[in-house]
Amino acid sequence: MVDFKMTRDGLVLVVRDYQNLEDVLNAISTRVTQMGDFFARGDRIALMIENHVKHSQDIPRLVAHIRGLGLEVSQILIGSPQEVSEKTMKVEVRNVVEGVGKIVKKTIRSGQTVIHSGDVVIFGNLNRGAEILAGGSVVVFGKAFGTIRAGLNEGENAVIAALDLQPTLMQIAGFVSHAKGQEGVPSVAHVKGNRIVIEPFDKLDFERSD
Amino acid sequence: MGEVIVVTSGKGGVGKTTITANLGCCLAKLGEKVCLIDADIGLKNLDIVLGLENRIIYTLIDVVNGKVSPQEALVRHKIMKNLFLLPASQIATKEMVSPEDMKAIVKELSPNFDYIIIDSPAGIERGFRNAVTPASKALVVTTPELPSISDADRVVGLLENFGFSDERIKVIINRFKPHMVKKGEMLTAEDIRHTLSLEIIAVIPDSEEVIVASNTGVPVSLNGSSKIAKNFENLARRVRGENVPLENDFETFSKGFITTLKDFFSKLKRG
Repeated sequence: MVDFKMTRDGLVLVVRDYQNLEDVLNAISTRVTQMGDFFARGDRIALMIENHVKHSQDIPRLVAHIRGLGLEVSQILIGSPQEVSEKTMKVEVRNVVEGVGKIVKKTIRSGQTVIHSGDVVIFGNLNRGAEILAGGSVVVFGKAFGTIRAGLNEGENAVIAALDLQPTLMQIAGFVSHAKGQEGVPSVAHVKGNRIVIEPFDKLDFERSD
Repeated sequence: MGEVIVVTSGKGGVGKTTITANLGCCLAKLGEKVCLIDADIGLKNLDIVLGLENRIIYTLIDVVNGKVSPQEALVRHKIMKNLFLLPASQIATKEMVSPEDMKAIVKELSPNFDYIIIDSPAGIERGFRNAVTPASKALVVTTPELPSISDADRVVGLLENFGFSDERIKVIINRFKPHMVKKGEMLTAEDIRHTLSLEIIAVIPDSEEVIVASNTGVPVSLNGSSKIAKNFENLARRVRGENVPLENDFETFSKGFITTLKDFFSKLKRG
């Protein structure tokens, strides 16, 4: 009856067409309690009500109920959940330096981040606990053990390459993967058929869009 | 002007205090005038390891509050007459001291000493900043386990943010267990050097002597019969700029007569 969806605009609470408002309110309470520590008090979520015309008089009660659970409703969306695509999860890149590429000639250590709106090239290792946030592609000329988020501006055409690709987490646009490349083999990760695939450098097979 | 070195790690319980105490003792033995500063305010240990807890009159907090000068607060070691300790207060907190205070104290002390060694608390908060700010060189202590190495890596990153270049940061591997390395169950010194991409200045084996020494208040390096005292001496010599090959640290590990016998008999049994 109720479900949370992750979208470009953040978390959306989708309420499907219903008969009894009390049931919906109970379902929302249960769902939020289930998610436990995921929410902090005052977190903002969007509310989407299926068949909003029919239920428009219930909206104030729904909003009040959600507020009662410690969450704020930032916006009310109309339409059907089909339009809420799970693929559109996006990380906002703030304080970025404009430019084509960024070259970093050092090892990125735990706790350090490299944030850039374009492509990022690292000459050194990316250690566990370090993170790269790139608008475009990421190349690590060394061992990559940390977290790599690529294609945050450019989208799924971005690639991630490393001499040894063993990341804690990889993200290209909205796709996330915990996969690791073959140890010691220079590898490239890219999006193919709606998921991230890792291929050794000498067996690369990009799906050509041009 | 003395050289100011901070001994730090990020993770707790890896042996910062023991290493600080023994490095201090060894440098003092080599004829240097050494001052140790305990920056672990509220959780002080350095005085206990050195066996000086009953001689403390003033602490770092008294210096910060302007009650006494840094020189007046120093405690001289019982055996090593050119080794001094600036003790921490157990009842104060780290927030009562600022990095600027530490800088001022070290600046006042440094003309009188060859080496000032600061024992940093665990963590990366205020206490860490207090300990690191006055230093010009850093010794990062790690044990050969991933959580410890990961924290060491984080600390090296922070040191870089504090303006330390990689040449001024050296790694000490503590609690090294050669028999586990041999079986492939523990990371080797080389693995750690690769992960941290920094020079390793000393490898110190795991030893029960250290536990006994901490309880009696006589650091192992002052105990003539101790085996790992040699490792601390190697460390001290390298800190002074002497060229002592890292291989020398592994001499301590060479098998004793009894172990060789045991190995021989276990082989006989199997064969």
